[in-house]
Amino acid sequence: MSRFHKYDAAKAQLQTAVSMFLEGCDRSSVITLAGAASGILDELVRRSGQETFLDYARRVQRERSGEMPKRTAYSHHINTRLGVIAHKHLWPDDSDTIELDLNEQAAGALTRAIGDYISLNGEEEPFVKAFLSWSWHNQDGPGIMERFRQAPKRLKPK
Amino acid sequence: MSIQIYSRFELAENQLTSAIGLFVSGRDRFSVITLAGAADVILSRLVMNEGKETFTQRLAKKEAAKGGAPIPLPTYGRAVNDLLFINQLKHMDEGEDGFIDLDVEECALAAISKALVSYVALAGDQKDIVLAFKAWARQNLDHMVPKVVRTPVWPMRPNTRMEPTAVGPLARPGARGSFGTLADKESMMIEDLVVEPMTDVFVLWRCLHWGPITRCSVDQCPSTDGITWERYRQRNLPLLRKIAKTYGACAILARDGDHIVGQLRFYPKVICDLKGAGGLCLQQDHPAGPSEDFADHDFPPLAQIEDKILVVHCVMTGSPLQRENSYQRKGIATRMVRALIQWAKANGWERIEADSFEDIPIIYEVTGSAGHTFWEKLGFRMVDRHVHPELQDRSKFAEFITTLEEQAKAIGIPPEQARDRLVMRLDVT
Repeated sequence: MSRFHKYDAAKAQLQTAVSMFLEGCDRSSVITLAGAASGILDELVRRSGQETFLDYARRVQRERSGEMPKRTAYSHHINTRLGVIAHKHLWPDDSDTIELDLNEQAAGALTRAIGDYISLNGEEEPFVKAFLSWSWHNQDGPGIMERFRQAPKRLKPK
Repeated sequence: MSIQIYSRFELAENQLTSAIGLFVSGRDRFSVITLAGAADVILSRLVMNEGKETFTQRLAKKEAAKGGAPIPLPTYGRAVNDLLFINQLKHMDEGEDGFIDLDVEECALAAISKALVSYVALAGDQKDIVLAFKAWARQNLDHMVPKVVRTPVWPMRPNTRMEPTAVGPLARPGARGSFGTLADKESMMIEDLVVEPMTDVFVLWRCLHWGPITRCSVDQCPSTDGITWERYRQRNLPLLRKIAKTYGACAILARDGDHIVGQLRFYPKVICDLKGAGGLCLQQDHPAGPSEDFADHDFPPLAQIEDKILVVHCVMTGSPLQRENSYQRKGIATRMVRALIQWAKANGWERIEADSFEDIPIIYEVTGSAGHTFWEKLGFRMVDRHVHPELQDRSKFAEFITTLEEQAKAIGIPPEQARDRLVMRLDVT
């Protein structure tokens, strides 16, 4: 029996998820591991007094729709969009099949978790740098940065 | 890749495959638990959809049969998942301190086992991941490490069951079991097993070669040619009492009720290096065992020891010399090593060392010694390797060494490394 902090569990799962993603391994596993890491990192970032990925997303949504979505409901919404829910729940009336874009959702789940991880620990660790580098080259990093620069201040992370 | 249609079974199967892959390759255990847990949620529902009984339903039914108050299935399922920390590894609630106390190795193994039960119910037991996990289990669960010796005495004729003698060959008879069914897995748990350091209050002065020992039976020795029990008793009792009194303990014992079913003997390295220590085997004469007057030595107190290193002498579970050994494959050796690690940390030791070998089948079959994988699973790393002194002379055990090298080659280990003694080390500070 050993004592761990949940931070250790989140970091280990995120590292595994990044490693599996960059090695081209199963995307479903990446989504589940990144989702699990986020479930812990979100609370840790909140406790550090910083804005979490979830709260930033809620703020953006408020800017767009005029209404701040509830935290729990929006968290569920994001987890559904990223495929996290489909990988860890199955209800009696669910169909036997489901439509997913696993590659896109794995990248999204990792982006969310890495964002929160960076809020806590910065971006110097190799696995963080590796994912950011992949992201820059494969998710139109320059284009995203340009759109970020042009975005109004209220739509930027705090 | 773009939007595609996936079956729920496929999503679960892929996650379980990843969990098993991560597990057998020694990677992160938290990830294993999460992935196996996620897969099991889906697989269990699919099992129910087929009108079959799930693992949790079976457990709940068993519990109800014992006469306990009926527990709603979802509550029972949550309790099982909580036991494996499946939920704790993906959630953190406001206000909680975030600390979790768990045995990651056992939880990972149990989470995979639980998910595999559902998987097998749906897909049968001949799928690659099932076969792969079975193969891993055969190689790594504790039935493979009933006895880990520091200084094995190599038998003259490999694959021959050796009778115990005063110079004690360390053959391990008995078959390797298969991974087995759900019923086997359930029976793997020993309720109320106690794993604790052996102090100077009760001293296990002889070993478990002939089976579990109780306080009452420890002095009732089996009649065996060549072993002078009373002489060993008179030598070992004061020696072990003195070491235990000086350092607090010199063994970890696993107890099932009154029966001691596992022993892990360890000594400070400074004591192993003293003149007269020999191989410190308690059932052998010097030099394989300690000299008759070894207890008369002055043993330095911990504060005076510069290199605070403990050496694992041997690990033994059940009755290694009996054909049937119901205490193997139950994680007892693993639990004892973990208890040693805890004890060492709590008592000011800095390192633990253990001798090991390559994971070659004949090593297990003939000596009962664990391969390095057993120690690596527990966090040990290899710090030295050299040809085992007893195996340096090829002519001495020619037949055995030839088989050893052939087996090594067959599983991809360079034959020249097959005779190596591997020194495993864990820093506990």
